[in-house]
Amino acid sequence: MKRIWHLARKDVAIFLTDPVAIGLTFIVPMVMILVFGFVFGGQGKDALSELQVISVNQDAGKGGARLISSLDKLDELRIIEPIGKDSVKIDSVKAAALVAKGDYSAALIIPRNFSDGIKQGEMRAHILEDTRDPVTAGILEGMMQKTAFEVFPMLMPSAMMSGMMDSSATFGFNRDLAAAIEKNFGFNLPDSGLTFSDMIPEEELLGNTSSGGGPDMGAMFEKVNQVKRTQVVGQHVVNPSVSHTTAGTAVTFLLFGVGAIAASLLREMRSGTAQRLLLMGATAGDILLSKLLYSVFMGTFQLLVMMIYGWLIFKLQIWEHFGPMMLMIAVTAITMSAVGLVISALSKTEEQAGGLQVVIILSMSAIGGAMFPSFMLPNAIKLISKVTPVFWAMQGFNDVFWRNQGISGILFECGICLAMAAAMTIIAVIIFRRRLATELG
Amino acid sequence: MNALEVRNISKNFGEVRALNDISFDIAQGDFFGLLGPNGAGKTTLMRVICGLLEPDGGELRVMGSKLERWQIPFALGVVPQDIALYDMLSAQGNLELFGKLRGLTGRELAQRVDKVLGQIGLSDRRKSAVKTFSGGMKRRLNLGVALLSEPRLLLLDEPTVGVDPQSRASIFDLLEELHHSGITIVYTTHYMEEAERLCRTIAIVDHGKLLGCGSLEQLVHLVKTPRFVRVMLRSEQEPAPKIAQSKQVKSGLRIDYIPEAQDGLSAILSQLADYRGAQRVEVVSPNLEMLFLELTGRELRDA
Repeated sequence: MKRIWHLARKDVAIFLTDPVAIGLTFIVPMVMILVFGFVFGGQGKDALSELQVISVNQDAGKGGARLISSLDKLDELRIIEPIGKDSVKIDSVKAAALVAKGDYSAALIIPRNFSDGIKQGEMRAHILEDTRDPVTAGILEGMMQKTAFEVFPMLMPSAMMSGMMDSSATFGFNRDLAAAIEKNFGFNLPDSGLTFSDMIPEEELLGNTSSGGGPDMGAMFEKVNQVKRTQVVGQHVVNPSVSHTTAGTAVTFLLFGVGAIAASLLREMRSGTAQRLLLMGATAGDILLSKLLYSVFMGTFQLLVMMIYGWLIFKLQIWEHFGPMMLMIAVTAITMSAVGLVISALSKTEEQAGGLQVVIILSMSAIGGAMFPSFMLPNAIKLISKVTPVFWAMQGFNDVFWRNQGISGILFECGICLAMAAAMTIIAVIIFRRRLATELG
Repeated sequence: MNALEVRNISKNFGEVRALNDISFDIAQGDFFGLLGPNGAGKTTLMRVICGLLEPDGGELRVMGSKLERWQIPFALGVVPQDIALYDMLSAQGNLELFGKLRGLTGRELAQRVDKVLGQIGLSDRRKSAVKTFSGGMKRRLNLGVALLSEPRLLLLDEPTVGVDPQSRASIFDLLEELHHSGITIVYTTHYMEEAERLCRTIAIVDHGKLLGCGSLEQLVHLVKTPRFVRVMLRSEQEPAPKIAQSKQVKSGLRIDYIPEAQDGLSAILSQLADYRGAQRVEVVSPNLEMLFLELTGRELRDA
């Protein structure tokens, strides 16, 4: 037993002499908890994502403006009324274009007769949506209905007055309406913490049912809810969720692949082959750039195979987008390889490279939208995500597969990716040159 | 014209002075040894010569010309201390890769690879992955890479570290053959026997300083200690014989009897004739080890 104890203590002593191992054991998981915590809004309720919706108010009356104001007051939504180049509010066509371009996930079009509709107990509106983000449009519609039903109880008396219901049916109507809203949307009444059911006395619930002569609630509900949703982008996509899943997974694993550059470079330095390459006339830049070239080649091949796999298994529409897809694949391979170069240049041991690789890859994939779509991220993280190459690569793939963009449509993303790659490569070469000079000493 | 001229080379790493104003010339066709213990500055000097490190001061001339740093690798053949090969590639694959880096192509490359494989005795294993090679074979291939460019000046940094005696002999034979073909060789080692066997000119280095430089005979003449008798005892319990007119230096089982008189050597041997506690008795001539001891106060192997 003593022998086992001594041997175990020896391992603890060895472990404590290795700061990298300590870092990998404690610091890396802490960093990952921090990253994922922020990604999933763990920094507090206030930081939760506020969904941005653009609105086009064509209402001739005041109802549309009131609706927008009500919706904007909700924590979940931020309603933006964009102004065009000519300082005039944009129309529904431009709003649809902005949604199709991916600048916003949904646009709320309030029609000219909105106020008239409200007077008749109807909420008429049109939501233009990018179904890649099903959350925003869904919440917008739900919130509109919530707002409507907060307003419509005021309308109900007039409905009753018009003889639609007798007084005995009113309670049944209210109860059924509350139940329907709760069932469909699960809303609580604002500020009360009570449900609609709570608002209606139990005896009323027990004593009255919709079968007791009340109006047809389904028809009533449909009459109230005249909000239409229209998908403005991605209609051509056969399997909508696959393009993001395939591209995201492929990019994440590409990062793991290019991370191997670091191990390969460190092996060369440890074994002396890097020194020999210098002796044979190669420069530090040559060595590093040769790793980049290898990685780009392998990365391009890996991504292409993943896309073909996506096509074979999930009918990912690669052939319809082959040209832009290949451009995006090549640019992504270059950019992610540059990330690998930076990891190589910063790591002094293979253990360090491994730890750094895990932190950089997982956090960039999570923040950049490779693991899950960026619309799920809190706004602060969305902002940070734009400095990650993964974000721009994913934007590019989304543009290709989802927004049906050609080569000219992804040039912006490609440009940003390549600029990032160039900056990272220059930094890596400078660091690597210095390290090589130090280590040869 | 000298093959290599080293003038006042200095190199510091922070507070550590790795090379301290080192100067020497290496004549063309020489077999030049840089002898010194580990950490003496031999490898740093080699790295400066082959352009991997920029010296803080001093000047280098290769074949009479002051070369730009980038030109140096193309003017020399260098065998690094590490076995710097790609294990997963074959012997031929390694040679072809490094040959291409030196600008060789096509038929010329193929011919050079064939020639080098023959020189290092690995023609029959040309297709084998280096990972399957013994340490000695790897060392030979390590040397072979430096021969690809048919250099006139070949630098070898401790090329026999970790090599079995048979491979060491094979490397020595190859080096002697290369030397006879007219190649100037610079050979660093901390093995005195290697320097004595191979090198025509030897420079002794320690703590970044050049302690002495010359032929083996010239250096040995600098040794103040005369020839002496060394006795290896059978055991430490054996009583050490008392020998008149000699200075005794005991170290473990070893006792050195250094004569105090001019003809003291034969007197010591005759007094030891009847001594039965010795495992071995030998006459030791002045050598580089003794010179190093006299110059530094330390033995080469302990330094």
